[in-house]
Amino acid sequence: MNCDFEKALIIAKKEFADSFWSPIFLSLLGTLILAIFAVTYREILQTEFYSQIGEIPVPQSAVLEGFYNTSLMMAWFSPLIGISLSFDSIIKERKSASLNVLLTHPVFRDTIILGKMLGAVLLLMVVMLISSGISLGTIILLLGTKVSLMELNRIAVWFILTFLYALSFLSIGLVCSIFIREAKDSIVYNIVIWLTLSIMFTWILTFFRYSLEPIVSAGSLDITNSLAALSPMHHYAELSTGRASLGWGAGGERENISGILDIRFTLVQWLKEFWTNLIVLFIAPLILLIAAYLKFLREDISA
Amino acid sequence: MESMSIELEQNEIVPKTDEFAIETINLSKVFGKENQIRAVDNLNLQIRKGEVFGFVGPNGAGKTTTMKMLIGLLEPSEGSGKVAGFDIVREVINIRVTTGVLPEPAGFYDNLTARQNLRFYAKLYDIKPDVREKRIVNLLETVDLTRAIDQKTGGFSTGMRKRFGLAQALINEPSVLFLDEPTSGIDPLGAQMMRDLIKDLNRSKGVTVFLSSHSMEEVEDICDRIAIIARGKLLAVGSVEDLRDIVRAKEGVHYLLEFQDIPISEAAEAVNNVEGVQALEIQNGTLHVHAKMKLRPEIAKAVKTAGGTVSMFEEEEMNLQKLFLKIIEGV
Ligand SMILES: Nc1ncnc2c1ncn2[C@@H]1O[C@H](COP(=O)(O)OP(=O)(O)OP(=O)(O)O)[C@@H](O)[C@H]1O
Ligand SMILES: [Mg+2]
Repeated sequence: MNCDFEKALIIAKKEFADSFWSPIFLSLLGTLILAIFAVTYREILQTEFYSQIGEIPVPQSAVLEGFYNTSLMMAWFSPLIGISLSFDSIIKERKSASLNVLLTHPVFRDTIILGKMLGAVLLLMVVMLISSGISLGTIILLLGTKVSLMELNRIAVWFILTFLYALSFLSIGLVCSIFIREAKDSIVYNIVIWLTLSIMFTWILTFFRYSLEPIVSAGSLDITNSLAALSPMHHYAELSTGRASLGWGAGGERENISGILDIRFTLVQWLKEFWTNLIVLFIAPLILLIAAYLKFLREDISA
Repeated sequence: MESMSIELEQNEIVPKTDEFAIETINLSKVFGKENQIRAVDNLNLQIRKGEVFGFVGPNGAGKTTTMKMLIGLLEPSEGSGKVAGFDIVREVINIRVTTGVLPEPAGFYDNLTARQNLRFYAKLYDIKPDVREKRIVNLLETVDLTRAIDQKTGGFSTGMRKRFGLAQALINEPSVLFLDEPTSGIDPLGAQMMRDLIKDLNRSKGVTVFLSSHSMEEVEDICDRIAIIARGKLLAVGSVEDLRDIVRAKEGVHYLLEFQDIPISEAAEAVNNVEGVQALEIQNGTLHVHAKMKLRPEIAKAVKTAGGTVSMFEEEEMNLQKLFLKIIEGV
């Protein structure tokens, strides 16, 4: 392969700036920042209020408790950010014929796709950093407490989880942008995939759960579990908050460990409980990115 | 330090001193599941350094496909080729560094300005920032886009886009330039400007130019030699005069004559007796002669012998347009 990392970085930088200044991205980022601020703010005030009147116990970590709602929101929002960074990245190059020109310069397809991936992934990381920062900043501002190292560690893991979750959708968007020729088709496909994996899925799951509940057979649970395994949202929800599903209309029942934000349990206990989810969240984007890479290279032969 | 020295080496790639700037040997490309489309079929070309070479042919003749193979965008199905002395399969990176390409269609990053676009392309060649910035300004001046230097290319007209395309192809100071339909879609004035630019580049910098075009007038104007291709096959190659000879050999020669001191019918009889003359016709006092080959001295001599003088002796005009149509006739 002729992949040249320095040139991939040049392309990544351009891609990063391109996406960053696009209106879709900026409006999504703006909304995200506002929403995270609002959600964190409300969560903190509520927790304080209810624990003061004795409705709920004082949380062991007020800082991490503050992240629960952010988590819930990220489960909905970060896929959109991921998609917005990739759904037309190849399509617009092809349509405008800028790919045609780019390919006449000393870069090859593998460098180009790698650069594009890098650019999008870096920007995603920046978005996630900003979101986590806003969330943490709001918490510190409201509570006026210090954040312990342990809490920071948990937040770091939470950050990685959220990043991986969004990355899955970024990868789906990238695959779409290579297979599909029109940006408007790509965005429709991406939204449909996202809706199917979140809303539709939880509908189907809840339907199964409740209609099969009276005759709790091993079979019916297997079906719901294996169906749930198809949705990145399910894995993210379990890992971050311990809820079996965060989908629309879903029960959202908590497992005994409330995810990474639950400090009653150690990291090892958390890992033991959720290691399969973690593997899926790592593997899914990886497979999709490799698929995108290979498909983009193969086009060399036909075109 | 190590990467620095590698960079320097890359920047100093000089074209290998081969005789030809571009050379192909039985170059072929087949497309389709069952290899049913022979887009380029056993192409043999030899283009000298410093030449402006025109590549003409009907739509789908294989011009773009040939160019793509020459710059390493498509692998040949059969055959081989060299550009600036580098193998088109094994030394693609060297070819990219020593050539400039204006593809068709060509697009840029329309949310960036002309300067930003060129800067991006320049970075791909590791051109040093100070050299790069100067070159960008100079190039945009060359293609008359100085005033648009900080405008987004998205707002450019077709003519401006073509000229900008030429500028991006020149960012690495190439020794060989590939231009795929450089004047398609632009107005006559813009097209003339483009031609002047190409001629100038060739003259002042000695750049070898390989261009495809559908405008015979343009090719005749700026190209030293021309290749005519149809259905992937090379039909003829040479200067316009060489092409005339090819057509003459195939179709014969058409002369127009007028006479003095002799009635036209007598002159016609005299000409008719010249060996090789195939047909005669008198139209409005002009004798049209169709001969198998060039017979200028023989005809003049015959008229003189008959006691007349030739007052006008012209060969029917054969511009590239006509030559092209005759050569691709029946393919
Ligand atoms: N990627 C491809 N897959 C299949 N067929 C192709 C492909 N690219 C080109 N062809 C076919 O190869 C032939 C030559 O195409 P090419 O684009 O080289 O022609 P051209 O001479 O540049 O034509 P034009 O003057 O229209 O630009 C055409 O029949 C075209 O359909
Ligand atoms: Mg073409």
